[in-house]
Amino acid sequence: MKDKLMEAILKVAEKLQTNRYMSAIRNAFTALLPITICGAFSVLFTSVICTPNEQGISLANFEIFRWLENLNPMFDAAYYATLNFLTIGLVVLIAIELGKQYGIQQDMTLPLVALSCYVTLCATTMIVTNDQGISFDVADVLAVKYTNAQGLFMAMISSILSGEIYIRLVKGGKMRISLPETVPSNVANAFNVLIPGVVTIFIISGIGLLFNEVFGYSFYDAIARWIQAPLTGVLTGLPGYLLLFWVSTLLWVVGIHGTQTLGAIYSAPMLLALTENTDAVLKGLEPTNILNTGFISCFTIITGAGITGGLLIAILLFSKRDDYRTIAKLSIAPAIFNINETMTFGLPIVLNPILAIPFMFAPVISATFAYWMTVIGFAQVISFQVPWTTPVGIMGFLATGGHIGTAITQIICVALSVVIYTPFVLISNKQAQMEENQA
Amino acid sequence: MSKVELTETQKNIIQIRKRMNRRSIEEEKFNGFTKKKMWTYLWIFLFTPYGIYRLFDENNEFLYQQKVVWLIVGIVYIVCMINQFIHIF
Repeated sequence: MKDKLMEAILKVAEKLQTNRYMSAIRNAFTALLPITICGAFSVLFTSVICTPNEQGISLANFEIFRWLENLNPMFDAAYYATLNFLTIGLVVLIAIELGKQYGIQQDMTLPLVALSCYVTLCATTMIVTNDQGISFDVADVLAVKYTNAQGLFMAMISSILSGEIYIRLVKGGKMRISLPETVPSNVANAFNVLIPGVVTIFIISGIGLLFNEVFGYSFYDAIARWIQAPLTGVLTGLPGYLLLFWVSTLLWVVGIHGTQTLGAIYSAPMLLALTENTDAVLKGLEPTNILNTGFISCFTIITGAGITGGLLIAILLFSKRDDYRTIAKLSIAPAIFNINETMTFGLPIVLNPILAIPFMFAPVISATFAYWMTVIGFAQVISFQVPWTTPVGIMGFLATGGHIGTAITQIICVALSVVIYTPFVLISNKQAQMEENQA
Repeated sequence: MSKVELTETQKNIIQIRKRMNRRSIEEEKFNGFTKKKMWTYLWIFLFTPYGIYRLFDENNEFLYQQKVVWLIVGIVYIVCMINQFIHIF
């Protein structure tokens, strides 16, 4: 019965992991991570180092460092090139990844076609209101909502749709233009993909037109209303968030990298929530999205999935088992940088019925605690993405632009996980004792 | 020591787990935070031409998709910087 249940869980997880669209989206987001972190640091440098700020902390508040203000254009440009241009990168990356799945990773036309298709779905005129309240149309511009994180969902759908159409047309081979053998291969290849490329762009552009004419609103608005808003609502609400990460730890317990497997589902809404916070900080507003990518790193998978830093401390304090203590000592250095494979596979936690229980509940309790600490104002809403390998405390401090309360909350979360793991470490002591007596 | 015969379900579980974790290891190649890569990101913002040279340098371990996306970042960054300078002067 237990085996059957585990097999069923694994089959679902495998389906999710091997799905080519999920895989393309997941890999694309993984490749985008350094870009979002660079963007977040640009905003951090601008607001905490280079801009004089009477209400908050800033290095430029000191007269001796006032020259740092001159560096702001560099960080502003870096912010625009990274966080404000995120969606364009995602379109290109998903197309490349999809091509890789179909074995045509060297086809450079595919990402370009995907990008063109995406742009055909974007409105190129926008209404601008001036200081006197008069509105007028500005033509031939691409609004920032299409290039920053707000466009992530349309980017995913359009890139997959255009990629799929293009690849099928190219692989079908019926639209190839036959050229004499004397024509160089690179020229012949360009002609081979010409008609599939043009047809794909026309189809996607036609879909955009259809939405405008039939439904009365754009493809972007349709996705924002029907997909983006409900999904973001579920995942950035506490119950949906907790369920997702509980399932993630459940996958870990059966030996699967849960965070990666479910990454494709939560990456876009969580990143959108974080970049909205970053934008708000840059505009001098209050960030409002408590649950976001940064929150995951800061409070849900801190010291590794399952918050195993707590287990490590509990073992060092209370365990009488030599095998546990040896592995815990070896795991101290990786745990500082939130790497816990030595614990999950070394103890192991995987398929361990005693340690699996706190492993699945520690992140849920930690996330709930941190959520309410943020609601009451002790911790601050996470607004900047920092590398997930940043140690506890420093991560919370940096991710909020220098808020001590958030750093303390992070440390309390690890302390909480020590409390959660301790009874189970004591049970494992007794279990080892019983096994020894039986032997 | 006696060997315990695994059931078909258990064998299947082991196979699925192996397949899935092999894929996770393949995805590790995406690691964007090696020392060389992080220096390249810094150079893209400090001196973009050298950053892009490092991006395409054979000794650097960037994947094709990482090269493409960082090239886009580099180009947009340069355009933004030029735009900023035009406004300043």
